[in-house]
Amino acid sequence: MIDTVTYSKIVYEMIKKNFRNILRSKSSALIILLGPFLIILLIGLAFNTTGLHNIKVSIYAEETNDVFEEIVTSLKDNEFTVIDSTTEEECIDFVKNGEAHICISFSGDLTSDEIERKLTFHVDYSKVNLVFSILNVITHEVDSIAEDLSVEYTKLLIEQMDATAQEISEKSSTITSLANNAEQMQQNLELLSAELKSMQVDSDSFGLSDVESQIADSSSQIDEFGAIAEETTESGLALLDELESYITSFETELQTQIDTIEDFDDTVSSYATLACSFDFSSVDGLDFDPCDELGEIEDSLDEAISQAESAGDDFDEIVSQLDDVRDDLDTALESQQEILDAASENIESLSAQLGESATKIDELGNQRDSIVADLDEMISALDENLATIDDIQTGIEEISDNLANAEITDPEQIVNPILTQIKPILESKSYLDYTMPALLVLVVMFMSILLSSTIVMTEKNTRAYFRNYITPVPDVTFLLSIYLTNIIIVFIQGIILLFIAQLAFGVSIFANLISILIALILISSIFILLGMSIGYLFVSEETGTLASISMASIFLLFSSFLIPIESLSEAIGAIAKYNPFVISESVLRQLLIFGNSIFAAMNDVMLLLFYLIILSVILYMCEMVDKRRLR
Amino acid sequence: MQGNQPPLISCQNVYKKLGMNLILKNINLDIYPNEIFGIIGVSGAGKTTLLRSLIGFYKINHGTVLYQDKDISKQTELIRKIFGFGSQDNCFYEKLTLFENLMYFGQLYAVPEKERIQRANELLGLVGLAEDKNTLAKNLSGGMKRRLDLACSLMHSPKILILDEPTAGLDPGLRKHMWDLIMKINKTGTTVIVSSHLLSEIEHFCTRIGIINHGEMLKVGPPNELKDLYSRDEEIHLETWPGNYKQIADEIRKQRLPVNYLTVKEHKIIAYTPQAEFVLHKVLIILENMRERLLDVSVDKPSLNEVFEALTEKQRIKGISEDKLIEYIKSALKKGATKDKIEQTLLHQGWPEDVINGAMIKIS
Repeated sequence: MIDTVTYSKIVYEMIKKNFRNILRSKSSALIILLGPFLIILLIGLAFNTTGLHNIKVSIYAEETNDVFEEIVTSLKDNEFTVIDSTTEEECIDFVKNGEAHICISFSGDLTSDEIERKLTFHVDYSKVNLVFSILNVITHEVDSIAEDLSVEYTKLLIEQMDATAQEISEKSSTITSLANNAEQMQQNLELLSAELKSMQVDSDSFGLSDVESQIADSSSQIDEFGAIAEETTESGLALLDELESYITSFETELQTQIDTIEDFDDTVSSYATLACSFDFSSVDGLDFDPCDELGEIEDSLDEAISQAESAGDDFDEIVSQLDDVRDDLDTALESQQEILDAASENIESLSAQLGESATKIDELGNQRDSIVADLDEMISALDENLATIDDIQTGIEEISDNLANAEITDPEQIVNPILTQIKPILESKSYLDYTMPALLVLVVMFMSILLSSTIVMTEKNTRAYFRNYITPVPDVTFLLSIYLTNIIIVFIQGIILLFIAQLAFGVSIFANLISILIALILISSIFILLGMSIGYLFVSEETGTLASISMASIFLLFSSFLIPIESLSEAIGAIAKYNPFVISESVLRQLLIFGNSIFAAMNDVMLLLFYLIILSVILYMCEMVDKRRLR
Repeated sequence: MQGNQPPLISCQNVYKKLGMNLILKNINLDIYPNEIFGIIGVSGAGKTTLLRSLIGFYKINHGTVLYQDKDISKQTELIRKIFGFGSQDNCFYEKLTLFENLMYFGQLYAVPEKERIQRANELLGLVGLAEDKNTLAKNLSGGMKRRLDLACSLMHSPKILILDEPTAGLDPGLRKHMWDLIMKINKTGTTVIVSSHLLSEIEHFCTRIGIINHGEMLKVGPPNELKDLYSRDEEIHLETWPGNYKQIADEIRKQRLPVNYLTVKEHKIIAYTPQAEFVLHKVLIILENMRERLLDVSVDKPSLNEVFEALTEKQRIKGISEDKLIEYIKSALKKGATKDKIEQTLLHQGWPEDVINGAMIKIS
């Protein structure tokens, strides 16, 4: 094992060798020695200023007026070079061609009351950092003019508000009257509704039901009477028919008897004729004459027949009379039926008329209900209207009160209600003070990454590299020696930068020197380890240098140096916060600008320490990879 | 054991894999004190891997390396102190002076400062660069650079100096100068292991030689012993005019002269024979009869190159199956070669006689 003293001597010898290697290359020595002087000189001269200058503004106006002239004069007063353009296109072309930094186009009359009036800034966002600086200055000039216009417009507005308050006050009584009228109308409608509600408009109340029932009774009585009459007539007719039948059968029987008698009479007559042809006188013991007797019987029979026939004729007469009676009965029945039918029809007609009347009365009742409902709706609508009118009245009264009670009536106070004042939290005068932390990190970063990767590459490409690895010195010693060589160079350069910044440009460093130096070592270490890792990882010097520049450029791009990281996309912005450049700048800002000790930036310092550990591991792994490549 | 001396370094069953390739296969090698041991082999044979394994730059996968009978395989620091390593690549810093380079590498070996200064001056004197001690290394000539590299590898006074192709890229004059220097260093008691593909140098300067091919140590021994072992023939080199070598060769074969192998190379006819005097006499008669004018004639023992070629060819053929041997004989017969000629060629290549006879019987 090598003891510490020997080990230190070995490391010292390695560092000495590294310095010899660097310094014996003229270009390297020149960069290392003169680099920091040149950088700080250029940065100091470039940034030691308080504002923008030599800004060219091309302007175009449709028509010129006092406001336009005022803006142009204001720009010229602030050392802007104003270029007049005849058209808006020409104005924009000046920016495109680089002859102007910004084009301002005035359209419309800026002082007239026309709606169409605007001020358009045509800017070249490819010069993003310059655009906002110029815009900031120019808009400041324009804003002051616009503010005057705002005050004027506000005055007009306030006057119109006063007139409105007066008008409202005048019209307030009209609204009260409107409310009273509506209230009266509501009362009237309520009365009308009540009256209509009290009206009995239905068929029952008119007694039509009783009439209907009576008519129905009459109708049934007529029907009953008709039925009884018809039944009676039919009974009479039946009796007549029966009687006629009896008579007819009796007549038939009588005819039969007559015929029998006539037959008998004929017989008797024949007998009489016969008997008379005989002389019954000679008949002993016959005390009568048969001819006579038979003649007498025949006479009796004739008489009987005559009587029977007479009776028959009587019967016929009766039948005839019965037929007359039947006819009379039929006639009576028909006339009765006709009368009953007429009565029935009359009753039905009456009943129908009653039904129609009842329907109409019911319809009338429905219409009344509908009217009452409409009236109720009207009343409730009127209620709402009254409430609205009340609200309007209250609102108008409030507006009136508010207008009357408006405390701020000064247009200038309205235009600028909050007086803004920007005060720098540190007493600096130039951009150099603000940008010093970022510039310092930038220089340290580029120096560290490029120098360390170059030294590693040079070391790797020397043929002695192999001999180093076959000596009994642990591999990590070579890493340590290269790191120490770099840190010494970068540290010295950093100190030179800081001292020149202090002495030549008045940037304060002595007050917080220890913390600044600690931070400088820490920041340099991170970028040196990164540069060394790149050096070991890449095979050729060209790709290594390219990777170093690319890496440093990435750190620079994703920092607030060019554009604020807050303006990056959310995801990239979140990652960019952990950019070593951003963290280093944050630490140095706290130390250089605010004069804090390194403990005030402990979170960032811890993060840098974390990076340091991670990068040490990565560096060792890269060296192992490179050593394998050597094998 | 060489004489009564035990080996200084002994490699036993050493295997080394680089990636998926087995570069060293079962290397067994003894290096004795104060010898100059030469390792020869074609490019990719495993010379550099063997040397770098010895100095501990590569860790061997299997086997042991003994230093004075002690296993030092895992004692990297000790190995690096024992060995010095010089190469053809000039492993020093070109932007440092010669003295600074020596001081730097001396410091890496933890040589105390006074001793370092003394040693640096001594070495600069030894390699003949004392006058240029403050010259930047980049301003040296090729030969001087190689000597500086040698001096750098000796700064820690190693017991064994390993040199990987130390004369590669140097002109013959510088090569000789370099070898003189190596001999001088060897005489100071430093054992030297040197690899080269220039076999004539190795043959001339090394006490023993190891022939390595495809990672295998084919043979180890003194140069003459190796030559005797692999060829008891002598070489007759003839250069004639107009140089009808084919007809000359046919005439030699026709007369059945005791020639084992006959070949034409670099506009010369070379005959390998155990009876050089007799054959040369006969050949001169043949040349006279054929009206060939003798331009040059020489009789030599075969060079180490011949031994090397024979050994490597034998190793190549060992990898060929009997079937392939039969195919080879058949194709040679088709091309018009006689059986005798084929047999001679195969014997010369190191094929065992019984194997050749077996193949011939199968073909007939």
